[in-house]
Amino acid sequence: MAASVEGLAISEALVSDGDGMGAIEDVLFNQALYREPLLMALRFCFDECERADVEERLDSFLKGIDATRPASSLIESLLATGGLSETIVADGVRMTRSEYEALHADAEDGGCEQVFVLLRTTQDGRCVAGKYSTSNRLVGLFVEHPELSGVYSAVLDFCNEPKSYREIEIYLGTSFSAFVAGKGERPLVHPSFVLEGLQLTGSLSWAGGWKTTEEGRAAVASLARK
Amino acid sequence: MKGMNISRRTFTKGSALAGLGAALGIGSTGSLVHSEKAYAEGEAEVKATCCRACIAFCPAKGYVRNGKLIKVEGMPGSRRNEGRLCLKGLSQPQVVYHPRKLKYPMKRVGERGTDAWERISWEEAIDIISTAIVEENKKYGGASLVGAAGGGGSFSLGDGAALVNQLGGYNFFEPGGAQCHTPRQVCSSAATGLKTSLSIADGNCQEIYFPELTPMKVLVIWGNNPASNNVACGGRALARLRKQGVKTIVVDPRFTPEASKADVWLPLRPSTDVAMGMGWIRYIIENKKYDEEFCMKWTTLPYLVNPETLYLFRADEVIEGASHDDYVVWDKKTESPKAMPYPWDDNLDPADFGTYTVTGVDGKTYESYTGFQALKDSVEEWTLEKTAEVCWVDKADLEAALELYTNEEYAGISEGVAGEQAPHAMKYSQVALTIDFLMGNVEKPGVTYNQFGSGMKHTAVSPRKYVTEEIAANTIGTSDKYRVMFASFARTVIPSLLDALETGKPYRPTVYLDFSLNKLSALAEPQRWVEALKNVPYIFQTSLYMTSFTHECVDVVLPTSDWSEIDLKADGQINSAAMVQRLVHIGETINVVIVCGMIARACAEKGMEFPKGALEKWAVTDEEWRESVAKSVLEGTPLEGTMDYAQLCEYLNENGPIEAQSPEKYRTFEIYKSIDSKTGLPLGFPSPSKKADLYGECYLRIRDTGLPFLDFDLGELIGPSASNFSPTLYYEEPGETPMDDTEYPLVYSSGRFPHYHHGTLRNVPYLREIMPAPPLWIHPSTAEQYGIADGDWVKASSRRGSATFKAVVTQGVNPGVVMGERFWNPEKLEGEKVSGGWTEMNMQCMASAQPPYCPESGSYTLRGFQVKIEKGEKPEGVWVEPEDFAPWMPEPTDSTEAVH
Repeated sequence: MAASVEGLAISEALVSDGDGMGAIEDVLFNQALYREPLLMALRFCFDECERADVEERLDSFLKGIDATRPASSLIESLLATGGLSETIVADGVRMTRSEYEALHADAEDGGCEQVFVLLRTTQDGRCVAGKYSTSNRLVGLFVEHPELSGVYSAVLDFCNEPKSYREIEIYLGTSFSAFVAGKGERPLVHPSFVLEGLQLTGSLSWAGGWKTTEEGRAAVASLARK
Repeated sequence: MKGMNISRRTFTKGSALAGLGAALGIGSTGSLVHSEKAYAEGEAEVKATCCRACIAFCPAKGYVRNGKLIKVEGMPGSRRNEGRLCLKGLSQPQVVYHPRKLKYPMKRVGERGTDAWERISWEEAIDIISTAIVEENKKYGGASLVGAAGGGGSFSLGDGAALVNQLGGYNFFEPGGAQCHTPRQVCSSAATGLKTSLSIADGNCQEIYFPELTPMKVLVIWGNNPASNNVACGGRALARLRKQGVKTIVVDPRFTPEASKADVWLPLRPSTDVAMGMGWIRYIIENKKYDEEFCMKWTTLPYLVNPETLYLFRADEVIEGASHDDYVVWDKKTESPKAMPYPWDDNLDPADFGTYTVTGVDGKTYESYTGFQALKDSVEEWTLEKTAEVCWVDKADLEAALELYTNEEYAGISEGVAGEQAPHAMKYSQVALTIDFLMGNVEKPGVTYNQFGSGMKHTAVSPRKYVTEEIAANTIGTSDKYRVMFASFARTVIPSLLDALETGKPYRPTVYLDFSLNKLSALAEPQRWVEALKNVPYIFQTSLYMTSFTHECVDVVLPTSDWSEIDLKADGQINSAAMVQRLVHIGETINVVIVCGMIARACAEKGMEFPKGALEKWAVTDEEWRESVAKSVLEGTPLEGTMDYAQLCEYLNENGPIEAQSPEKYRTFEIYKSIDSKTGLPLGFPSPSKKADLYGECYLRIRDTGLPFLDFDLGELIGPSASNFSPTLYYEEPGETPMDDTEYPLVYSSGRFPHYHHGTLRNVPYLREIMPAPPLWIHPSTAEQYGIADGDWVKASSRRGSATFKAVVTQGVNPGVVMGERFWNPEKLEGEKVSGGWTEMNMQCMASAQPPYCPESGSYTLRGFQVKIEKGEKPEGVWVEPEDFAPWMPEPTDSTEAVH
């Protein structure tokens, strides 16, 4: 059953569990920091691409989030859990890693001349990427906190241009009663609760300020149409 | 100075026996086996230090040969430990040379829960940590950062908390806090304004260290066990007092070493301490055993209560033109309410008990009553019969204990952690304090509630430094409910934080800076923590070892120095000043205080703003730190200002701790009666009424304002606490109780053993050889019922999880109770790698971080929950045989220079 709120629904086709989705999801939720780059890796590899290219793009992203794990580690996790599949191309011949290693072990001259690794997202990986698309996660957030759906939308709109935490705090405190407190009162909702919620959907990201992502903008537009 | 010449092997085994001997108050040198000299005479350099294997700071001697620590032993001549040291301190060479001691900063390069690490430089490590702190602060403000320290043994408790607050972080916690120390300290501080308490473990109750002077006749040891937790100082001191005739009453579910020597042992049902205490109070009031003079003149008990607000009436609320500073009594002479000026008006004859009709200046009529009446009413149902029945003790034993305690002028109570590890934490401490104060056992010779040291006067509680209005208004669990925690370093309430990490409400910290070893052995329901911490993007740790917490949760781990590698002021000395002196240095470890400074400065360089003057207080270099330590050690001593660090070390090595003054001058009594030169009146207690608030108005003040632990009124900012603070005593059955639980019929409780301190030292091979697995004490009849024999593996299960123990079948517990270890978490090894290892023998998997909580402190259930037991099997991979521990045998390495 797909979750829904006010007519919004998460795509049924994408949330149906493949057999291997659980292991990929475990990796995805092992550490919040790596959720977006892991999903990014799955999305990159919908079309087969070179591992070196994926690593380069991922490493660039990881550097921006102060990560300790290198891109290669994330890719290995996705390979180990079946989110990605790997093909070794050695001197133009496609083979598995074990085939390549067997071949390489036997080679007296130390191996092949030209070797590169290709990655492709598996069907389970595609299901996971779909299930946790920004759009689906944003709908999930609205379902979980319908009382804040207006706030979430407004913040995404407000952050079309990068905004500091303080700017958002002031904006919320002057625009929504849940964030306003009189003397001797506590606000009902903390601004960080809203920001973290949106960040975890991939609709908001930090780039020297909070900024709505392209995926977030598209998701909001899609939701608005519905 | 010369050491005993014994081999390392026999030395350690003998040391362990000596420690156990000390625990039992028996001589122990006969246990040592002499051997060939381990080193030539005069070859070892002997340095004066203090042991920091627990919180006791026992003065000690460290033997260093060729740059290697070869032995630690007690320092003769010290009043605190009189030359003794327990097996925890004696183990230090094995600790510091443990083959798995962390020597370099490491960063995670694989998934959490795997063993993929890479050595990095300090520079890179600090850059990673400071960048995350600064960037996440930009994203989420003060909500982003949570810090944590270890329990009382931690030497980073105050520094870690200060750093986090200086960085604007709203949250800092430690696994003790609400579960240890804070309730007892707050009860005392809130009631009297003083920093002292009834806790031997915290360095209070110092009268016990003056056996040649004290007239003490009776000591009640309630929920603490100095022979295990404070072996060489408190436990030793009590052994000495018993030897000279002091009688003891031990209130403890387990037949502890203290219980084995007690005149009366009350093996109460776990978590019924408040019921027991209320029974004591009723007996004291009913039999007029209380100190009437003290209660009437120096407590709030005779003051009238406003029945609507439950606050004490101020005189201007009842009497036109009267002072707001005065309270109101019912004058029996005139049969009317009268203002009672401080300290006392001999023309008045205040009622002790009773309910009286009072008309306020607002014209309203109140059925008011005295604080004494409120106390009496609260304990009314607790007859000895009912107390004995509820607490599972023998009524005759209960009466014997009460007669012993109440018939002796020189008596006192020592309380401890046992009652604080349950939701009744604050009321447990309140009953203990109330009993001793009712008896007038306050600031007198022969009692435990004292504050010694002529320089101390009345050292009043001070608000937490660096806790701003913004921080106080946002601290998870504490700001809106459990405001007692503003009194402690551990301000954030643990189950509230766990809830926040799980749900994101009210917000979720995104950087967790941990200054401890292994939270998975110290927090209830580690299975929930492991899952919840996956939601935290950045987790950094300072540690001595990689632990299962490191393995499961941490991204960067910094190698911090153990106590034998650092200089530190030794607090809690008895009429003397002493210092932990660096003996060796291993690898790239750094003193955690300097690590805090490194993080602070790196954050400042990245643009983080600090409170004025805060940044400058962090020591930049080791030399700066050493000189600051030396200065603080010498402060208040006759040698203040006369020497630098090097000279102080030389002095201490030659002479041992610096005696501050004569014992007679040090033992100061009845400070509250001394005359204040400014007012010409007695000094009183540093509380709002200048009296000891036995009625309990102080709790309402904390509820409504956060005072006196904050230096601003939190109520004005965000309103009163939503939690139900009560000034008076009440008893509630534990959340899980044997009275109605047939599925989990046994009460699980726990206590200390002398081998280990908190969650530490489980990786010391010699200690593990003595105590290889966590014991579970089971009564013979219970063991028979479940088919369990002494030495069997036993699986215990609660509604939350299971753990495995080794059965100790003994009559030392009630048939309805099982008693186990408090912390246990074998660091399982798989080849050279550490595994999770936190589920197999970890009682915390059974404990509860779920409601009910203490209304004032948020304390949760680490003891006194229901379990069932069955015969179990040895968990796969855990080590229990002596030869198993061979990979942990010490590998002495040369000392290295500090890298900073």
